[in-house]
Amino acid sequence: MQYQVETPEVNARFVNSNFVKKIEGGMRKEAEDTGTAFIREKLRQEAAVREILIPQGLSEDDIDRDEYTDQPKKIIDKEPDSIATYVQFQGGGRRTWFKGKRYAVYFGKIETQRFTKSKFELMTNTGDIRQILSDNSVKDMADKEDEYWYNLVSDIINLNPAVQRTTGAFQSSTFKSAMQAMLNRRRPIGKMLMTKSRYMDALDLPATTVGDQIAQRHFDEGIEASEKLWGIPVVTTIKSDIYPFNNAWIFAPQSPNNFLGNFFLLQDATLYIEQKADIISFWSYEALGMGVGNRLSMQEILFT
Amino acid sequence: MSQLSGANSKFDTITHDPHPNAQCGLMLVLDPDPALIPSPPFNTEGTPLPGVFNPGQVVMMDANGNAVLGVAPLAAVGVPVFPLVTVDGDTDLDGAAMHRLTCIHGGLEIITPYFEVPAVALTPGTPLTFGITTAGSFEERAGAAATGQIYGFVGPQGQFTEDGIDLLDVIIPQNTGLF
Repeated sequence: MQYQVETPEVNARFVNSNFVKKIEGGMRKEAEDTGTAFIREKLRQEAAVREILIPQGLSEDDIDRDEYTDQPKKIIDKEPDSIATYVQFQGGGRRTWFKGKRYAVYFGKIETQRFTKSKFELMTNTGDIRQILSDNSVKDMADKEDEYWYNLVSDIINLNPAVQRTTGAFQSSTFKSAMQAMLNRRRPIGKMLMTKSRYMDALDLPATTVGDQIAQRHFDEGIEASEKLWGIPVVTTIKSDIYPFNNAWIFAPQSPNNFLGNFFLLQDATLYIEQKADIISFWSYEALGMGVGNRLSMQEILFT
Repeated sequence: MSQLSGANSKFDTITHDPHPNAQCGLMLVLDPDPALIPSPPFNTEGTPLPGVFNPGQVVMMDANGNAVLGVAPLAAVGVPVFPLVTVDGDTDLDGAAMHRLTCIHGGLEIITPYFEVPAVALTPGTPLTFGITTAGSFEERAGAAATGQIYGFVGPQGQFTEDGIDLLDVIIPQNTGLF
């Protein structure tokens, strides 16, 4: 049986000419839709934050208005504080005029560079134009999401480092201390986040700690096959330029109860294309807002 | 020419598309000086906090390329700075979320409340400097600011009041600094 072999060059030229033809043939919308679907899928894979905070789309009906600005926001209710008390049979609990705490998520836009090219120059591209979108634009947008998340997390940890930072070597006792710190604050454990290169240190975890079976599996298959450490799902990322190699983070879960925060999308990543005569421009953008309403719902591990 | 320039060239034109209301304005998106961003950038409940840059204020870059409120040099210094006007600051909701500033150097015409209100109303055509009395504010070239770097001129509407707020029409040409 013979298989048809596609050469990348032919494929890329076809894709590019198809891209140009679609735009020229008045099928700009179709080209946009195809590109947008592609970008959203790639972005989902690329941004580590999207595995910690699941993005939630908001419609016009969901957003909150502000008296002083046209800009949108989303107000999130937090649980009011409450207490119970032991009393005798003739006693009773204290009255309280409870107040609902709230926090707001504000929105901004992430936009890629605006790529401009003559259609005649585009014809010579042997690289898949979608690769420009995926390798450059999407990664850049995902990086900005991760930078935003890392800055937010760092600001929170730095407010309370004595409590929310655990220091130690990459060993079970350090992770145990970090998880205990979360649990001692009555925060459940959701997911861990660290760089892939740091995750490789799990290969050194001895059989006396993780058991023969796991040590054997790490030896045979490597660490990539494992998605958990001590039962906790681990989100790994190659972005050691954003998430420092020396850190890992433990986050509370978002479901079934949201102990962490919110990642809202007014609009998910969208490809926009325009053509004026022979000049084709395209770029991608998204409108998002992230917020953490529960600062104690994360613990940083600083490896020594 | 020994070699054709082309795909390997590091040359690029990276100007932002112009602001829709300032088509001939040179636009930059700047990070504020980190010292001017609230720390932490959210309140106790988690709501983002605004910064200090308002639309209509004059800013300039520090040595790191971050925005600080603009202060004009005097003629004796001889070397001008590169001023810009913030058209989208970080005191509103998206500004508090992102802490980035959309700024335009010129040319554009603006109405701004950020100017030193003189005893006698400023008239159209008056040259304006900035930041010598109050960082980030336009002011007439007079008194201590008499030799400040010129950044703009009072526009045809001059100085006026709206809802009890003093406002100034300012025309800002593109310029590399006049004394």
